[in-house]
Amino acid sequence: MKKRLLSVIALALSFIFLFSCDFEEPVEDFSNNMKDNIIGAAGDFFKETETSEQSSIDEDSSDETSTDENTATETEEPTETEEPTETEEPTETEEPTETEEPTETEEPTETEEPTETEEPTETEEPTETEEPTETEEPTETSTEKPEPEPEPEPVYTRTPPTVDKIVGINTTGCPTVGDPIYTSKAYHLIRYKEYIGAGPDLDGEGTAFVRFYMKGKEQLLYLDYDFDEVTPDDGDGTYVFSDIAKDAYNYQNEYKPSFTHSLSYIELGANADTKLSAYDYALLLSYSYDGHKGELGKRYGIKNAYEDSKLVLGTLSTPNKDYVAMVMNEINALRGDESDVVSVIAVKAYAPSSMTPESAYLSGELADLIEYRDNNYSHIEIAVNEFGYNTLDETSEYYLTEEMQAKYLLRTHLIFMRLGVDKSAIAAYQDNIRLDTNGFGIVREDGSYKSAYYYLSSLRQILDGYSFSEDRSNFKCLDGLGYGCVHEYVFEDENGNKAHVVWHDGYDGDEYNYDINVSLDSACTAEIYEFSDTESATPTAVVDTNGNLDITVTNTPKIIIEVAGE
Amino acid sequence: MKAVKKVLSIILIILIVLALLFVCISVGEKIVFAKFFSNAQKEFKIPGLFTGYTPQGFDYLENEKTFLLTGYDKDNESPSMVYKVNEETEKAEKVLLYNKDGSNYTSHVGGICHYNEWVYIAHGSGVDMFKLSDILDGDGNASVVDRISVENIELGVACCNVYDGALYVAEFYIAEDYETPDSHRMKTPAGDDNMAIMASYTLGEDGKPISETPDAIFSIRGMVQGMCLVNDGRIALSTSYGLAKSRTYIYDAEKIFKQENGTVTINGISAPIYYIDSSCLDEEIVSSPMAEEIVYKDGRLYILTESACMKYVFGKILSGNYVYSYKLA
Repeated sequence: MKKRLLSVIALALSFIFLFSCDFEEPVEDFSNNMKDNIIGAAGDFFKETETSEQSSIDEDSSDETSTDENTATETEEPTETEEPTETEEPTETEEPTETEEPTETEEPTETEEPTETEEPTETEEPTETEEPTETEEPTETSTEKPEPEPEPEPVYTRTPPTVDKIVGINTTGCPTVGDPIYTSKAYHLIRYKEYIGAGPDLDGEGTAFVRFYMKGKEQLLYLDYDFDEVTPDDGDGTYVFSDIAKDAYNYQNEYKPSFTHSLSYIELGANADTKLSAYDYALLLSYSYDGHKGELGKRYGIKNAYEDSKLVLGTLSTPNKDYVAMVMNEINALRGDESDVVSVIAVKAYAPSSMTPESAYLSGELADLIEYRDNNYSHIEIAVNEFGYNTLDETSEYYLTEEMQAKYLLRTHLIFMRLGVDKSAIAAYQDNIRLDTNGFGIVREDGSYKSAYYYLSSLRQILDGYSFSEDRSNFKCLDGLGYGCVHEYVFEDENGNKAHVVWHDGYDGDEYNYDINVSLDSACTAEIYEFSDTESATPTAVVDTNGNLDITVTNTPKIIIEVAGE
Repeated sequence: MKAVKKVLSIILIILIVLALLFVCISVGEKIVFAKFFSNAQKEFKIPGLFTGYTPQGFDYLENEKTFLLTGYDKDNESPSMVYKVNEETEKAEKVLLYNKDGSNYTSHVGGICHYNEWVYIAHGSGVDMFKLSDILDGDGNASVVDRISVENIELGVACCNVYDGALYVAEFYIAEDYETPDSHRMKTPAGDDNMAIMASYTLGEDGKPISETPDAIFSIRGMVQGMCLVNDGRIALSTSYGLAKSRTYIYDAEKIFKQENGTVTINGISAPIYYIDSSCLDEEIVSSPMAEEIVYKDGRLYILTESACMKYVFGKILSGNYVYSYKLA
């Protein structure tokens, strides 16, 4: 009887042991025993358990021989190290440090903050558990003489955009934004508008964000404050600067890149150049960037929500170089150093339809602003966030027929690349009678596409991966005085493949017989693409050349892709 | 008389032994998984555990306040099924699944998810599409309507989910029994040997991917039985196999997307690649064996297990009869 009882207890204990053993490793041998069980053949569980128990013990003792299960072994250890840290002594040791040397402790806090945005007390702990050495080090060094902080080297990463990346859109008033088909087809930069305070109540506005991993698309959230109601913190505006800095933090925190969101650019209101002094605007930008170097607290400013977030200066009412220069100077004065507060300078650049895109943009305010950027802040991107032509209101100075809108928008994008614009967003993706951008869309209010939609869609497909390389315009003009001049831009991809885009800036019907120089080898093939109301990006002709190609140039650009010969 | 007494005493001893065993195992489980049980609570009883039903997929219909549980029949001949469990009443209804031609649908049904009017059920190299209305109409039957294939990237779907209009499908890897193609096995930036992949596809209005090319490929660890996104921007992968402890790994999406990434080409199909590896690991939950798909809801992770089905039985004396939810940090 006693024997039986003992054997029962032994059996029970062996079960407990069974579950206290880690079976993650044994799967290889164990799986042989369990194979039928798992893949469907009925198995005798208890019989299996006995054998598996044995094999698991064997495996535990020889787990180094297992090769495929390395991953499992690796991940097991962190858990064990994580668990004890939850009892958290480090927290206590850290606090005195913070009180001792506030200036020093600020820095580690800053580096921790991005991961600790929501619940400071709770979320601080996991960060500490992840990087125990980092959190401990400051405690020790803080008792010593503070070392001079290493100057962060500004990273100048701006590279000329590829064609597919410069074609962006404003989603304002666009009812189809939430549609996944739309978001997958969406242009590179998507500028969302979030109405602050009383604004039109548009379904879905500002709520649909494309997923982060959808081929490098970027999203900019435009917080639409009316600067007439905004004052510095000591003023009596409806919104004060610190409110905006807090909003910037909250939006960036909620929509930072993840599986379902992709927000990395924040823009604070438009037309600051008409409402705020350069000093005030600089202060607002500093507040909204990092809470004015952390003075406002952890939950202010985009950088405290997401480390890689980018702040936009603008969108200004015009490409106002002087205002930009004043704001940049004020920022540097306010923060005491050359700062990376501004990642993008954004402007509106509407061109009246009485001017061709070439005459409107190739020289003038936008070109001047870009020159200023190139000379002073070459790492900052230039975005033209509103431009376009109205196809509905014939009284508008921006009115064009749908066909001309398509041609002008196509040429405008090519010119932007020639100038060095990094991002752009057409005034509206879709017409919406409730908005003042009605008519500027490339999609009609009923959802049907205008020619501009097809042209830009084709442009993105044909020149996907190509960047502007060279301007070979010869300014051969129809009247000899500057009207109807021929433009030829060369684009190049990362493999050195070349594409030529040619057009003239005259009226319809003025056609040139233009001899284009294809500079590859003498026996190459050229694919010629013409634009039409179709999304397809197939060449309209493929011709053999001897290094030269005769082509008829019209005021609708044509693209010639060089294809190397056999 | 003596013989009867002897038999009775043997029966009594056996009963005592079984009771003791039950108590020991049950208590033992609570001790071994103390951390899990201290943060977990019973949600509802898994239905059908005394039939041939073997639980697999798990989903939640927000509008209907209903959980969907898939499973196959252990005889592998009867139709696989979906159980609908009402969140409030915990009442369960069974829906048997059939092929288009009316024959029994006997797939392993490892995963289930839904989007608009569709319910997707994992089956081989793809997911089968059922009408949500057909599952919910109460007649107890539903038939395959369409299919999404991911055969072009050689992905055998073990679990699936839909978020923000994108279908995520992931495969299961275990050495020898469930091997994956070489092109799916990757060394991650953290140095992990990830042996499987998950792919995501944007779904169109018709409920099918708008492109055969995935939006992205995610390199994942082996033994993944379920995945779900956690509202705070994390992704959870539930892993289990046989009697091994179940482990649910929760990764920080921000860290995943901050890593260097590039493009991977599988069978000539290229897509951006992201690595879900130990450098992004944020939390690990260890629970009782045989966890299957998982559901995230209101700050809790709901875990379905198959250990208490008639095929494996042992879960009946453990916690396997119930879906437990775990409160996330």
